Amino acid sequence: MKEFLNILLLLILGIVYIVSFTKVISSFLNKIVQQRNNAIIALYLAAIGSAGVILIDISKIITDAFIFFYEAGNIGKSIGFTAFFFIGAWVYSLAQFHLSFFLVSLLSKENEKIQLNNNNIEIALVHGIVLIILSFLVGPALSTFASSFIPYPELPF
Amino acid sequence: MHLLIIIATLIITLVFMFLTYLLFRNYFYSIIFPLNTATRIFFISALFGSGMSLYLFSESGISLLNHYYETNHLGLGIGVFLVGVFICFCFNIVIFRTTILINKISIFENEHAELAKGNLLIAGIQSITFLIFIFLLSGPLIQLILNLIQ
Repeated sequence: MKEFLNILLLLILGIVYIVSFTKVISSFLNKIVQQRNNAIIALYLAAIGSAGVILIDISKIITDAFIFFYEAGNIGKSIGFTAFFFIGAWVYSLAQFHLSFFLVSLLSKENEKIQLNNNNIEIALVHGIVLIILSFLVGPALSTFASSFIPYPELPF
Repeated sequence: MHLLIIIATLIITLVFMFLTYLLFRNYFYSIIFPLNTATRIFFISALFGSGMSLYLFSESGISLLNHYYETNHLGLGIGVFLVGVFICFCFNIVIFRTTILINKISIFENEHAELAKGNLLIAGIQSITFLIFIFLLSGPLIQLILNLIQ
């Protein structure tokens, strides 16, 4: 039962996570470019992919927290912690996306927004790869940080 | 006898991938024939994602087969493994349909028409969403399968 509930909760929150993230990124990119070109599409897909990597990493801790609190009979906390970790991962993914603009402008020394408008695929691919690598590197550390919030019982040895 | 386990898993994997291929092929051929780049990307991602869910299950599934083999119940082990693979197959279909539903909600465009036109953005979003859900839910699903088997 708890595994089924966990899958259901992950599915619902995953849908909310992806739909809301896609919408926010889409509206941001619409503001900085006049029309969608291949560079913007590449960056957009990389942003969704990087958010997905963070979500997949954090989902292991979410599952642990859900099962831990569910077995302790605290369903409210199990749902609360799941939602809390999802929101944390969502906020981090968005912050990382915005931070990566700063990083890429440092790397390339060019105005990225103008380059994206000019359909500069190279800069979009570099930005996308930076985003995805950041997610792969930071994801496990973020999961470890998130797990520190779960009040596991201390072992006597 | 370990050779028997290898042959059994090989046959099950081949049948699984062939059935998955047929299922998704029918869906994509109903959109456009011959396939364009956008539908090909989504088709390949769907096959890859399905294969990954089977791979993630088979890590535990092969341990189960070994356990049943050591207790002289290999036939039962293969039966249990097949049930797990069948659940994975159904899971892939559910996730595929959910992905299409999510994009219908979030994009507000006719995804069949967009894929037929060769819209790479729609194909990319669908592919990434499908893969995210496969990796997100495979772990909990395998826990569920193992608990059902126990």
